[in-house]
Amino acid sequence: MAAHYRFPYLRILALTQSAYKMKGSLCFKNNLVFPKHQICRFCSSSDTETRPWQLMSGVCVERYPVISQTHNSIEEEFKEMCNMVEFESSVLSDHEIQVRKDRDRMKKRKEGELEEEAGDDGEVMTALDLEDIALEKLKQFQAAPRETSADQENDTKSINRKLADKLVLLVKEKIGDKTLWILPQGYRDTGESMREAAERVLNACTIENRMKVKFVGNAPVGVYKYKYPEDIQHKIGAQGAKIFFFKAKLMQGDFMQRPDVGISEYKWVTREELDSHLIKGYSDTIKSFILPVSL
Amino acid sequence: MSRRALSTLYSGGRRVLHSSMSWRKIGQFQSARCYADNFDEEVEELRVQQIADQEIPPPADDTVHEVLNIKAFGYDCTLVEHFAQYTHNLSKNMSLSVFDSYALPAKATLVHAIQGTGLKEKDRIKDYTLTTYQRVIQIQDLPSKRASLLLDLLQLNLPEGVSFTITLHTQEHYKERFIRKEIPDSLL
Repeated sequence: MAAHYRFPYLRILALTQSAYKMKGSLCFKNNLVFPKHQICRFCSSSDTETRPWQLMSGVCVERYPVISQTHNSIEEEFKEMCNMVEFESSVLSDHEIQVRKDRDRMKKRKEGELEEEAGDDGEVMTALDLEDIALEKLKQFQAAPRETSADQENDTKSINRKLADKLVLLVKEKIGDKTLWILPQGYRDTGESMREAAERVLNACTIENRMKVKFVGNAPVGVYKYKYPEDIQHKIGAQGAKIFFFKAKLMQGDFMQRPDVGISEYKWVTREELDSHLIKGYSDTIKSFILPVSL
Repeated sequence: MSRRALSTLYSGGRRVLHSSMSWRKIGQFQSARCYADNFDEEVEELRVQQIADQEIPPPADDTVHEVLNIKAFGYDCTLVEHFAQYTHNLSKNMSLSVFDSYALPAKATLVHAIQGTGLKEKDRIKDYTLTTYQRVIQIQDLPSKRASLLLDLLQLNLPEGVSFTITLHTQEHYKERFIRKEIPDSLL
């Protein structure tokens, strides 16, 4: 019965089967000796291997680009060529047909071929006149500058910086004994789903109704595992924390931090500037789910 | 025939429940023929050609979305068409199944400024028409893990002058593509 099996679980199976074969009583304990290392495989007796991981939700709030990226020289040339091809192979529009008709009419009238029509007092608007008026109006139009004042001052708290790029919200929080730049994160309460935890974390950071955000999907986009040092492991009773990140799109408003929360500072940074703020492993994880605007 | 069955027959299909129902009382109440409540609507419906409902396939399992409509629209037809082509190719490359891709008819909007009659012709604001072009790509069984990625890519690669919306596909979306065809009274 206590045969030497290669796999301990098979041994248990054999033993329990044999135990059931006995009439009634499950007194297989007396016949067996379980060496300690074989028990550890399937009973939770050891401390360090089976401490739970704490779950946290992180939120990646992104402000999407407001304007398109500037073209490089090749793109500019290609764009010009495409427009030219488009123009050459296109059909005349209504306006252009009207311009041609008016021109012919003017020519005929000068040569005296066309009779003066009743009610034709020379005040008729030709299509060319309309075009001139439209062009004048266009000259008066002033487009907003691509580089805003926030760009010139390099104000990293402003949301109007780098309009052609994606901006991500980073907050400075005290973790253990260090203050680090991280994405807003918080522990998950019991009974919450991870996404509800993420929404709660974001609402806790900002003053209510200042920032309108839309969460994208129920599935987290990334995970970061952080193992606590030994003394904290004993103190908290958990092996570490797993942070699940959720993506959110900033619809309107700006981040206004609550004074009572443990956030000392915040910044809106582009993907390239992430490296200089975050620790290496964290930065790699985050970069994997923040898509760059131009590849 | 049971008394209950007869009472339903006399009341034109609608059973009026009274605590004490007798044969003669039923006859008294239902002297006029009574039709269903929406009789007029049903007659109106017959005048227009009825279109059968589309068979929209349900999602394959819990982890995928239902049929989604990505509608790209804008004032510039080339941009809208190219963006629609881009979404189609992107979905194919992400191995998503494209259910259907179609164009909705262009909508012409007339912009008219209300002005006083005293202005000269040269100073008046002219009317102009703006046409909005629409293209729809339908994606079936989008896994929720890839949904945020697809949305991200579409938003980042939107050209200027084009917008897009993503909605669930409904029967109304299907039926608005058809032109309303009246059946003449002689055929009814």
